[in-house]
Amino acid sequence: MSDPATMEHGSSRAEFHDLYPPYKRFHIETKTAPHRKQIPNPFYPRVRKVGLVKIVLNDFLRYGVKGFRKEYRNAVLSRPCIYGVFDSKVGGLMPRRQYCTGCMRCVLEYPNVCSVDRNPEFARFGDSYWVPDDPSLAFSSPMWVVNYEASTGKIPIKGMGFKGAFAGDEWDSMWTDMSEIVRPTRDGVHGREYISTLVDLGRKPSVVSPGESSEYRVASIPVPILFDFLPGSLANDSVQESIRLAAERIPTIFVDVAGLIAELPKSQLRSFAPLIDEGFGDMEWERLARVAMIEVSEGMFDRVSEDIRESAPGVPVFLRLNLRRGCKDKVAELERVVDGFHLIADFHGREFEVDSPRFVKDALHEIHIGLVELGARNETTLIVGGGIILAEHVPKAIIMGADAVSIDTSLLVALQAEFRGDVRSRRSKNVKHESFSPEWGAQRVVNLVASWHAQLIEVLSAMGMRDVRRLRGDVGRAMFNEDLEKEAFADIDRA
Amino acid sequence: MTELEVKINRMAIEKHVENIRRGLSTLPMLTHGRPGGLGNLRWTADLLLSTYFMASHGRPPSNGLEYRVGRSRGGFDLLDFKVATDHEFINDRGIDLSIVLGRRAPSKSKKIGLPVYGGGMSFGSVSLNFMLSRALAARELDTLTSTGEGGYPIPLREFRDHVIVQVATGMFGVSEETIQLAPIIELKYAQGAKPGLGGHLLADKVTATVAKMRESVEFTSLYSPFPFHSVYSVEDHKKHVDWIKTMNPEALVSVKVSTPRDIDMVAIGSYYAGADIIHLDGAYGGTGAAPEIAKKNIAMPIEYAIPIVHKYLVSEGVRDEVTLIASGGIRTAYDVAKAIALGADGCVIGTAEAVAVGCTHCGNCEKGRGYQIGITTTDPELSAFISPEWGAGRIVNMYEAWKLQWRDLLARLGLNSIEELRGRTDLLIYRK
Repeated sequence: MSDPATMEHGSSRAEFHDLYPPYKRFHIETKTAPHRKQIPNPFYPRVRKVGLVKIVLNDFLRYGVKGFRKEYRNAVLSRPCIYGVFDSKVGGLMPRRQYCTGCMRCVLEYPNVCSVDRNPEFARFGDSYWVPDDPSLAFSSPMWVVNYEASTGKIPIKGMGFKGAFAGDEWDSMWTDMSEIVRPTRDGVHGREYISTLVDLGRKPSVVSPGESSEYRVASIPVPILFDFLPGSLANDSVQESIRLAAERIPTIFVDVAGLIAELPKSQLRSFAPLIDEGFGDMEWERLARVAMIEVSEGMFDRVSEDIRESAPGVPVFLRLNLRRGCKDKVAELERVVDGFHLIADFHGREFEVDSPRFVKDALHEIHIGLVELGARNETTLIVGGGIILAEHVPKAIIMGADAVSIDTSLLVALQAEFRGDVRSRRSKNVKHESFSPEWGAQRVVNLVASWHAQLIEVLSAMGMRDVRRLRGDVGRAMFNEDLEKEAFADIDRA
Repeated sequence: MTELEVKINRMAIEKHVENIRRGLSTLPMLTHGRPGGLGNLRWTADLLLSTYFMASHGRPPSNGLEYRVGRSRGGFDLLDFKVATDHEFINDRGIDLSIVLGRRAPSKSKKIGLPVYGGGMSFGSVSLNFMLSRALAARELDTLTSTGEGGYPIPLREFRDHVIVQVATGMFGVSEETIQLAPIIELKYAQGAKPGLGGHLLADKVTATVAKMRESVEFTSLYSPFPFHSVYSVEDHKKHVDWIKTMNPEALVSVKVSTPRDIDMVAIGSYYAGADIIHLDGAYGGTGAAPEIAKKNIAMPIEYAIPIVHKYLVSEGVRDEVTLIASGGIRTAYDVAKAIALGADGCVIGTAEAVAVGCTHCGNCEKGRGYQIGITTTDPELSAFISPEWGAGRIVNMYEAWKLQWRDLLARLGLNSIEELRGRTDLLIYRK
């Protein structure tokens, strides 16, 4: 390829574009990918049949003889629902429960005949982290929201104010900041200004020293969300293939077993992060230089680090660490040896400790601060995974110190896997699979990430922040319930 | 539509209206128990049913419905007053419930009969009949209501002395004429339910009438910009306030902001820019449509913002020159009293007025034809479910019940006016 500086006058347009590709703003293409399986409606309308018959008879009596005329049927049989629950031919005798939005109009009109209760099927979803105890939050529950995002790619918008608890212990113990008068704000959402969500994963020197070779090994992804490794017990072939395809299209990075390196097409190698863990046998080392990044489990690092550096000197290497007490010291010890850390909590966001496991945001923040104190934070990368199941968890994790997040059970929910109880551990057997088209699956995952990307921009735009990288560790952009409570209620007596 | 079809349609509406009104009276009696699907942690079934009761009877219920707090496990729901109350209300009419809006220019100050006024709900997000219900009630109660950002419908002009004109980032329906109509102009910088994002009105609700009022395109979603693109500094903000004051020198200027980390700085900035009223809209406020992520996660709850701002304005020595109004998740008479004890002068109410006329807090306001009994809708058929007189009657009744609770509480606290309660955190207890 010729050098643009010396390109001869009259070079072809195609040649010019090879050298200077036209600018294209990052955008994720979404397409509706309807649910394969109907999600149980959170509401369960019931109609007492005898009461219903009485109502209809009363209405006929109310309108007298003309009530029996065909033209007047619309008034006589007019139903107390605009969402279609009573729109079957037999109306309330066979309510179409899946259409109920819980508006309660039928109950307001006929409290002695109609009732709308919580649907026990919805509550039986299985995983307590995904369906809150309080059934009134059904349409705001992670399960409902992620399914909506995966099917539409849109931002969930609802009427009325927030319906949930004042604050919680985990992600809900913090609020993100906003500003009344700064840019870029909402215009960023609509693309008139650009808010960057690109992150660099790997090692970067803090200072560039001319004449000296510096270590620079990074993989850049346009959205700070990776797909974490899901073992075969949690993800069947359809799930795995959907995730790989989605990662290629977005593009982002997926973590999977290293042995896969031989099977993947070239196009997917660029999105692949091979995981070298205890199950590692052998692999095609020569293909390693083409992957996005390499992830090594703690126990394997000493065994393979030399081979990796020799085979793929320019590829960032991450150490996969299960979060527990002592991780801060481990990170401090190895921050010069590896290019970054992938910190893993369990699927409910807890450390792998028997006694009082901390929530992922607190464990992460401790490690982030440890690196700041060492003066090494800007040179290495922290990816955090486990317990990140909603769009809002992404900016919150970044505020607490992560450069990027990895997601796991969200992928399963987006792909409509069935949870038969809590799925807290990566060894869980509580996930039931079905086969499906990877095209459908990939679109669901692409939609999910597109929706989260748009929501990340909304949160950044509310702060007037132009680049997600600036948000990392910026706790000044968050408000914590504990701090606000102390500040605002300091002079109020406690019971 | 033929004449006969119109007639039949009217008959159907009459039937439903009759049923709904009967239901709003029947349900709070608990004859059929508490409806299982009704309510949530903030607006519990008890709070909804007790508001229906108050709107029907003008007094709080005495059948065991909890009408003072919800179950959100924080904020107002864990704050309480240090006096015991019971169902024997002390209705001392000598207790003054009025508040003064705008103190820095006494000639312009406005006294309202209640420590509350109605929040902005735009034409388009709600029906005209509901707007008229609120305006009628505001006139009867000697308080105010607000246009929201959807313009100033002509029938509302009859109530002009009680209607605040909102100037928001979308500038829908804002003109020199509407600004000159109002006793108070509200500059809406942000909204608690969607801080930093601007208003949302989804396509289904942008009917021809709504589009005409907003000078927009029918059935096209309207996302207001954010922020005001003429305001990127406190100096720009002052220009905005001056601009309003030039057009309508007699009006008070209210600045409505959300609750960011530096809300104390925002408040003092607005004060120095010339605002008469600083209106804080907390994170859990109501909305016709907002992204779920914004409702739950952005900006702080009003319970924290009030004392932070109040104390800061006191420390700056300007507290008595500015009126501090709070909104965003204020559901009951007790929430209002707690907000005032935390440091506000008064509150702005939105959702509770909607609940008084039958809102079930189901959260369907954003979609399709909107809420199906005529509140948050632009559908002409559904709008007819509420008549302005009936709606106003229910809102007035609810506030009569609130007045009774405020008088009772103030009497038990040994105070003679609601203004004496301001900033009295020593009267509160935090049950955490």
